[in-house]
Amino acid sequence: MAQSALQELQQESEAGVEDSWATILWDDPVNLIPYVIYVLQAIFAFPKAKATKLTMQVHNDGKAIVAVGSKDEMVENVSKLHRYGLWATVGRP
Amino acid sequence: MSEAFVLDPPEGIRIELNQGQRDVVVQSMSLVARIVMAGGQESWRLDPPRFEDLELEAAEALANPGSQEVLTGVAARLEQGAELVSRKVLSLAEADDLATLLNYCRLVLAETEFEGEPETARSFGRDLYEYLSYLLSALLEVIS
Repeated sequence: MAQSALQELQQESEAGVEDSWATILWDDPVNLIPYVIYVLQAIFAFPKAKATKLTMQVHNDGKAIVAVGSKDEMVENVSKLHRYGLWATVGRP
Repeated sequence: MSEAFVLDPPEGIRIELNQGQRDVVVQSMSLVARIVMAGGQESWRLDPPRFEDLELEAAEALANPGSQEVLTGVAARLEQGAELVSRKVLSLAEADDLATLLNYCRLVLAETEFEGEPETARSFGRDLYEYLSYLLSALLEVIS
């Protein structure tokens, strides 16, 4: 019984990973750092410190995951980021 | 140079540009709208891929072949931006809209090479990009 419950949990966990998608924000040479911080605050309601940290991660590492969730939610996020002119894609976390 | 934008509560954000400066912004938006509608590669940043995975991106493009609609919408917003720039005061939502439009102009101008154009045209493009960058920075300082 315990073994079966464990297997169930493992399957659920694996299914969760399979269904998990990410909003990936990419670095680019045009968008200004203060603009990216502003947009992250505007779209995701992040506190300024978190928006700044993610923006600097994008700037230094080339990209950052700014949200994780269902595919539909991530597509919606990416559409919002594109409307502000930021370069973002839906991918796997 | 005096501040281009000033926070003026409760009215909103006051635009402190003279008529000549406003005309430059309006004409920039109109120029970029024409570039966007011409359908060249300069506009790709306004409608970039949505998926990292190429197969998913291809499927998305088949399901939602709306790229031209997106660009037409952007061009229309840029043309309507003239009305925003003519205002004395903007609400926060309108300032957000203006910031987005200024950024659209920068994204397209950054990709526009002005190949085959005389040096004066290339220099004009660079100056325009710098001026719009300055205005965007000034606006962000006020609305952030």
